[in-house]
Amino acid sequence: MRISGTTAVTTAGLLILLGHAFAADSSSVVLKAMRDELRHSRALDSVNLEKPYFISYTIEDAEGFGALASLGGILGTTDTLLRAPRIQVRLGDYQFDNTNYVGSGLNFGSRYDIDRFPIENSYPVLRRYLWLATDQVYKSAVESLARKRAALKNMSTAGEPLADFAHASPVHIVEELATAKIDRTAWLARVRALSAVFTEFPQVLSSNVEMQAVKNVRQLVNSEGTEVRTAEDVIFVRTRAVGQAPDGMHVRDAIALYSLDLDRGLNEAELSREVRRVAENIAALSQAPLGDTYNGPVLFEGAAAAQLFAELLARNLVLTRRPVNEPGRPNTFPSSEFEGRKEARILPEWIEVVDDPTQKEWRGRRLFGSYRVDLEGVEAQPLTLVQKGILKNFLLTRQPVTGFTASNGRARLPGAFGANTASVSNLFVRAEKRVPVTDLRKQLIEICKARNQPYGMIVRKLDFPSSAGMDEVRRLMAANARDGSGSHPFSLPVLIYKVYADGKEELVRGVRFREINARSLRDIRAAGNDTNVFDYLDNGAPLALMGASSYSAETSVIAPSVLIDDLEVRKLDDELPKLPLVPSPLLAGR
Amino acid sequence: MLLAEVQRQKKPYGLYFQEVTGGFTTTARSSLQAFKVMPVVVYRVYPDGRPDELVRGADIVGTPLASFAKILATSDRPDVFNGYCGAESGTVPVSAVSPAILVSEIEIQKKDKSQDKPPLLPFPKDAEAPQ
Repeated sequence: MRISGTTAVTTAGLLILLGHAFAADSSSVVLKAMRDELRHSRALDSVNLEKPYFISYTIEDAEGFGALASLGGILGTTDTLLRAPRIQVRLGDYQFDNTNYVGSGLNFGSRYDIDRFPIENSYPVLRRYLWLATDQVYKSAVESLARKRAALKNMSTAGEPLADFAHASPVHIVEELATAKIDRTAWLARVRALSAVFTEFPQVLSSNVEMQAVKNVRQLVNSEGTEVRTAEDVIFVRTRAVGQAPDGMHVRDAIALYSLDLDRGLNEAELSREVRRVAENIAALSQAPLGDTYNGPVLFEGAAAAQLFAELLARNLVLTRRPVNEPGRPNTFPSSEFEGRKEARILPEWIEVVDDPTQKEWRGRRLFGSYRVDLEGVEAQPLTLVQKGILKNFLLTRQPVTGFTASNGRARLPGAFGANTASVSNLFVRAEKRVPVTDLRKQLIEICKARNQPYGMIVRKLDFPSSAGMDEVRRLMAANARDGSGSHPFSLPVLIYKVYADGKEELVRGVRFREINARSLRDIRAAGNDTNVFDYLDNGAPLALMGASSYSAETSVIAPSVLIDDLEVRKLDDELPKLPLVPSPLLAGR
Repeated sequence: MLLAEVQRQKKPYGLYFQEVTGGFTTTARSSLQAFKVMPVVVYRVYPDGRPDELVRGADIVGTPLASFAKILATSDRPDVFNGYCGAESGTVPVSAVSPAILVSEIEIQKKDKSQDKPPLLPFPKDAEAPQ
């Protein structure tokens, strides 16, 4: 939601009101209204249609501030203040209900103007909104259930059908609300100053620095007796920059720093260091030579290793269930590469992977993916996903999937067809066999020497979450499809180096990986004794493309550097744009 | 004058449009020359002295030129309608100033009706007084 101009004045007024109301903790009014309307909704049992067996109300409050700056000037600010409901009514029973059908979640019911609830904690108004919202969702559910039954009558289904909803024990967690404030004036000055760094770099064609701070309060009540109120603050600063090489190729880099602490989460010195690094990377990349086709070992060092695991491992730990479809329509939904591979080896036997949302800190650094209870009100526990290289578990929600019937509290993003989508929290990749990173480099060179290869390759940064534009993503997907890399695109390397036998490194540009996928992880030869924490916002989109979805889950991946054998690097074969006709005015004086 | 015209045409009632929310017209050569106006407040006016009756679900339709030709009379008090006028290039704010008009013949069509049911449960009565 973007508010500008005169309305911003009113918003500021409301913010003060809201702040005051929160301080007095009257947002329990929301819980009470939900609880009471849940009781009122029981009367739906006697409406002579299908009886609801499960109703859940979630109300999410968001109060946010964002600013975008470029070259020392503010491009715009955004103020967000909204209360959004998510209401679920399930008819039938846990075994068979109105969800997991292609039409589940569509609105077949009445259309009331209730997508946003009023932010004031007015009990009668909330009851009125909840009443109408329940009516709308219930009517849609009746329609979905009837359509789903009809669709199933027209197809033969093999095997024991999966249940539609997993049982879960009720929980009661009411967290204190965070009181941190967003200092708008200070942040405007900060992004202005950060963005000014790029004025020193004529090689940078376009650049910006964006900050967003959001205070979220989620309140959930369901008919099983669960009552949850969680409060969460998220702040991030994101920088993107684009340059152009002499041959016209665009070079991109981006960095995002995240924190759950609005006040002290982001360190000023670190911010300016990272922003400057992006500018320096662009300057270096725009002068770098083109890379070549390469087959052989690749060392993923530092953040790139954590990015690699985020991309190849984290996404594939989520199983997607195909919904009941209308007969004759294509039913193509992307699935995990690990589907059906439980108890199979997916990593070397000396690697273990654990997802642990309960861990708040790691070696003094606050972890970004920590939470107590998920979107469905299920408490999250540490989860061993990979043991001795063997896949042991998946990230699960209350939507049963083949082989799994219970949630493990990983519902973190709203999903499709009446379900939620799982995502990792704090994903720890631990290697038993560890060597110093310098030894990894030596190993890389040794392998290359043994194979008579002139150089090996080191990746220090991937474009993940991707800052690419939609055009570029489409080109990448098309290139993937052409050479048989499958439908899952893999991020482009941003910082990729040739490393020669004498240890000399050379930055190159214009390459991508070919046929890199979850199976490549089995070819990990060695791991470093370092650990790299990489925070990102997972929005469920391919490449976690920045801005692709309004929902996102805070995630940390903690992983050592890894040396992977037998990867393929290919040149990008895009058509190149022309350089600006007149060179940058900044270069004129040089 | 409306009642006199109703009696002259031997109609059971006349219509009095008090408020409209907007309308649209297509006048491109390739499409129908027609307009539609969506009234909000419409009364049936009876010539036999019965009180006026508020009705709903009626849209005015017609062809622009034929309709203009049927204006019988106008009032002496112009009124203003402010709104946005949409076109290929976007919307522009517009005002129309016109007196009330009496039209001898106008075509009304029933509004598009949804099959929607009213809320299944009654309004939560206990919500008005928080305990």
